[in-house]
Amino acid sequence: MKIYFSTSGGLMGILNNHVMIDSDTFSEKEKYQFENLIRHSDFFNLQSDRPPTHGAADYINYSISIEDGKQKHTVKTNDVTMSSQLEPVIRFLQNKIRK
Amino acid sequence: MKYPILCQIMPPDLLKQLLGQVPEEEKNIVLRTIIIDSKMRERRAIMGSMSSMFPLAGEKSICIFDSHNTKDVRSSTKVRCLNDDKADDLSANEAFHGLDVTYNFYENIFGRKSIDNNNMSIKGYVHWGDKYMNAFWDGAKMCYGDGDPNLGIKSFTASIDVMGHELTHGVTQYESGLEYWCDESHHPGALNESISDVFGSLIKQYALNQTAEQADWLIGQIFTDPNLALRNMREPGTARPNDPQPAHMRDYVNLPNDEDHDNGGVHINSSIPNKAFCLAAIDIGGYAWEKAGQIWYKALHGDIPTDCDFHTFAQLTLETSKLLFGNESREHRAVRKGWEAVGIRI
Ligand SMILES: [Zn+2]
Repeated sequence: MKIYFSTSGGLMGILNNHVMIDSDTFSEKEKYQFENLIRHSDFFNLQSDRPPTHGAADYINYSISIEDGKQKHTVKTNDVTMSSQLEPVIRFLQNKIRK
Repeated sequence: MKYPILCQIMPPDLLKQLLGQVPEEEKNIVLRTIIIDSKMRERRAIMGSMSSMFPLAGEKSICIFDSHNTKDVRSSTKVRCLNDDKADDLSANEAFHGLDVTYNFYENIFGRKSIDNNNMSIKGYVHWGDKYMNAFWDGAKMCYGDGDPNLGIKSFTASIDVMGHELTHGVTQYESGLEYWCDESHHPGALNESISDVFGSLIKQYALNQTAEQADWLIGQIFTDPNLALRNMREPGTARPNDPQPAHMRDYVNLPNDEDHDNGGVHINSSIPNKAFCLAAIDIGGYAWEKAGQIWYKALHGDIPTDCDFHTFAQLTLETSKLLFGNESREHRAVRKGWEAVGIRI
């Protein structure tokens, strides 16, 4: 599984912060956790979250694309309207990048 | 309760009828939702015609909540409100202090009561997310992350100008229809960001009792290295390594207007109006909030197009300086010189 994760915006004005993660580099435990998260969130059928309403500012925008065999799906979200399905996926990827 | 965006086409009578069915505490939310996309003049007309339906301004109210390193408001707990003792938590106390100073600044200097000028309750959420490296305004509340000292970033509550910056996004939301994007010839998002930096810096100067000349004009000293900041208003591009901010219109950074490029670089090109304000304030002299701050605050109440460009906003500030201080007054000339120094001729 190939995961493309990008962030942009925020108070710091992040630009084009793209990371590609190959799930082959995950430990067995991480692989199990991530596959569970993708299944629980029904990732390949998820729609992008709506953009924030007028007035909101300094939120971070997130984009996740996952390629798994023939399937490829992209979902966009942000700090303001992030759905409860996507939040744990974002948290997992951010922790993974930090390591 | 969730309210649909019914919007700008709704006749006022129907609007009043709808608002009549809404609980008192939710009236502000529904009105804000309804007028989201309307033009500023229409927004003010709606606000004016509806004012009798709203309770009179209540008391000052500030509350800090602990999100316990989640992004969940429901599991967040109240840790310090107005008149409470200090909390056992540094971030909560820093956030409370920053928002209290910000409230006092707006009230004492501009006679403004809170974010909406109607004593809307100020809510700050600390320990937002897990090592979350950001602070933001979501349209109703402020959220501050803890940062990650291992990566050189402190809690976002550590910088009082960040408190002022975020709350000012709320003020801008209520006073203008500035949208949150930029392109080559429209700059509403960068102006929105600049207004937050301008008042964020003024709040820091007010707290430290500094004149324009004494101020460091730095925004966001959230790095563990005390020599670094997010932005330098006086000398854009020098706040930290790889600081992308331009100091002049000729270096305007033209980025695609999309979610992958900071909505067209709203945090990048904000340095151009930032520097214009800073230079005008230093030229005028004294406390920056007394004159330059008054000009910018009054201009924010002007008829700002939702897709405003730098030149239009510059003209608005120049006209305001003339109105407040007179034609060819020191203030009037300083504002013109400030904009000219960053390549905007008015
Ligand atoms: Zn901002």
